[in-house]
Amino acid sequence: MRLDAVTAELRPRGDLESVDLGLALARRDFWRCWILWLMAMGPATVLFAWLLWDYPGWLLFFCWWFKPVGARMVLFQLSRRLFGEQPTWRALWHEVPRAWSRRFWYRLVWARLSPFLPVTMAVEDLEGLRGDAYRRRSEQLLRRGSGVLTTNFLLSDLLAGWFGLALFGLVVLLMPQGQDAVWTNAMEEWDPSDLTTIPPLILRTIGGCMLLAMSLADVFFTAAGFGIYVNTRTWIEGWDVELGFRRMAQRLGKVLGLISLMAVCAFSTDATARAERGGEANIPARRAPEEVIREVKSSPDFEVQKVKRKVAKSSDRDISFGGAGIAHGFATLLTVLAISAVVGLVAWMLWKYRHVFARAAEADSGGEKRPTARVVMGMAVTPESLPPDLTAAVWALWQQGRGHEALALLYRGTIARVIERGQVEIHEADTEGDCLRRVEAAGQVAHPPYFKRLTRVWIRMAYADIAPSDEDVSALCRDWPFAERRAA
Amino acid sequence: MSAYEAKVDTLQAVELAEGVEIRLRMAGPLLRLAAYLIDLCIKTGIWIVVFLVMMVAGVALGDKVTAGLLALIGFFMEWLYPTLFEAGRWSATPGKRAVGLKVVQVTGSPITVGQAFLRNILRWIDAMPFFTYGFGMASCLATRRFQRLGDLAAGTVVIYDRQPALPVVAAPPPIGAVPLPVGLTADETRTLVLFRERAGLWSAGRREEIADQAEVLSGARGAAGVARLMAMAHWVQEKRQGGGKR
Repeated sequence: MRLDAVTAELRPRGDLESVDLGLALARRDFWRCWILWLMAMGPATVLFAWLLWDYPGWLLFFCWWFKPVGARMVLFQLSRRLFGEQPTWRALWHEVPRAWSRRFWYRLVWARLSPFLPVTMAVEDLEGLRGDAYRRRSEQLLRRGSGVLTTNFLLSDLLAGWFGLALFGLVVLLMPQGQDAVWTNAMEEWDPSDLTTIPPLILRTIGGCMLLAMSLADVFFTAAGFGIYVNTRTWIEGWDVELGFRRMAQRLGKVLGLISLMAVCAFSTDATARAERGGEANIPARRAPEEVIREVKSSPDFEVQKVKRKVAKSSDRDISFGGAGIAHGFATLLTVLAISAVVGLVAWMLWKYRHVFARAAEADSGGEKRPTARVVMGMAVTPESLPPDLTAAVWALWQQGRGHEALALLYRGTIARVIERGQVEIHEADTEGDCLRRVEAAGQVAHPPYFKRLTRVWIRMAYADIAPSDEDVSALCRDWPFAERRAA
Repeated sequence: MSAYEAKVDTLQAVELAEGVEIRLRMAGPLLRLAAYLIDLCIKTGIWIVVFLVMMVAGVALGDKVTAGLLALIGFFMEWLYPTLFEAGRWSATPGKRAVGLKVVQVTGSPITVGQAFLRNILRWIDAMPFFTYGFGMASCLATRRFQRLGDLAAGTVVIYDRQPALPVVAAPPPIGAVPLPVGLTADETRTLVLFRERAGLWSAGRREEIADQAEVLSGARGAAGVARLMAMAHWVQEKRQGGGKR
């Protein structure tokens, strides 16, 4: 038993929850368990059927009496699987005769009617205890959950009968009418109110349904009992706590050296005190490293043989079954096709939506080409649309008396420069107010005070037709902050 | 067999929208059977009362009216008895409530009227063949959350509503308290406390075996390790919390 390989969540549960755990375990391995049950009981059933063909009631009784054999196989499978081991069919097959012969007189005759069978059988089969040890261990384990076990014992046969009748009902429902003369005759002959004379065919059908229902019920109720057994052991042996400690040790193991150092420092007084009392508590702290290494290595975690054997087996199977090889090749082909399809799709998408990336690249590259707005308020603001010496052109226009055009040129020239040099993002739909706000947000590089002054003059000129004085215009031209070219 | 296989468990973790994980304790078929039988008894009781009343009233009303009324009452009781109770404040029929079960959505929230109606309409499918509940039982055993067909259709589960108090059988209290030498995660601290609280159930030898697993923490094996772990658990439970209060 390897606790760290356990494949169910161990925690102390209530009795009914442990039954649910058992049912969940049975569900995981249902087909295996059921086939095993049938494997153990099948030959015997055939034998009984041959001997007792004319007495279906006795046949049913004998199968019912010996059903612990099937339960034994279910228990074998569930317990191996719980601790992370999947027994091979060969091993399971070898287990069948043992399931019949192990303590036959006790288990299948004397203690057959014990309601605690799933737990005591686990003690006998899984723990291998006999005699006095068996008795004491069983008593100890039955302190918890014996009530539910008794209920289950009664319920298992009750429900098996109940669902046996359900199956029979299903058979009657699904049997095509008038197709099978024998069956139809038997059904017509059958008078349900008279229980003493049921036609043999009907009786055998009912018996078969009962057997089937019994096998299913027994798989689940055995698993329920096993759940109780596991839960009881979790309680009285602290399996969950041990697992928790193991996980903790694994985590802390990484800083083992540091901790042991700390432990030695922190508890040295404690240890010496105990040493004076003659205790043996401080001995482990001084153990030789070789001893520790040997102990660690003796842990089952270091066994590697099993892994090797499994690898060999799987390669064997690959060779022996041609079908597996073909399937493997087919799978590879499918994988390659799928991958190439995905690659093709991605490439096609990239090509189809390349403009997205082109635009993103432009936005990223910044400076040189930023046509955020080519036209603002109906005025072209690209550098190419402006005269080389802007302020001179503005002044010339002003002198000619075309004041509106002069200020418009100055304003759009300023916006063009603000876009170009100040890196201000101005959109085509922006108003003067928006432009001013953006320039102010851009900071000193865009010269917000000048822009504000110009904007006020421009708005008065454009919308209110109030012309500024000559001095104002010449000052605006003189103070134009983007005019390196003229200075040079 | 893969090591990554999910462990079998009767709890199902559900992550809520807030990122909090809760665990629903799925209830298996046995207790639900008990709840069903209790409900059956209650319904039978109601039927007996109704029949007695109708026998008296039938003298005045006449046979046909009585038969019609009985059919109506039967109809409403079969369809509405579970639906109304499960959609109501209890989220459970009286039988379920008596044994401590509750119907909730798969996400853990209370079920709606529509879901209650759906899962109880499909009860008639689950009850097949011939009201033996064979289909319901098969579906219940075959699904991870013990859902019958009605549950699967409505997206509901039946969970344990009451958490039974797990007995604490603590070992004799330790003499001193030893602070933890390293920081432990919440799970690890809980394990340490569980070790103390359940140690009374274990034999001395088993205690040492378990404590040996935590040698990294205690720095000692055998009885000394047990004593040190107990002292640490004592510190975690008493001293550290006391320090927090001060």
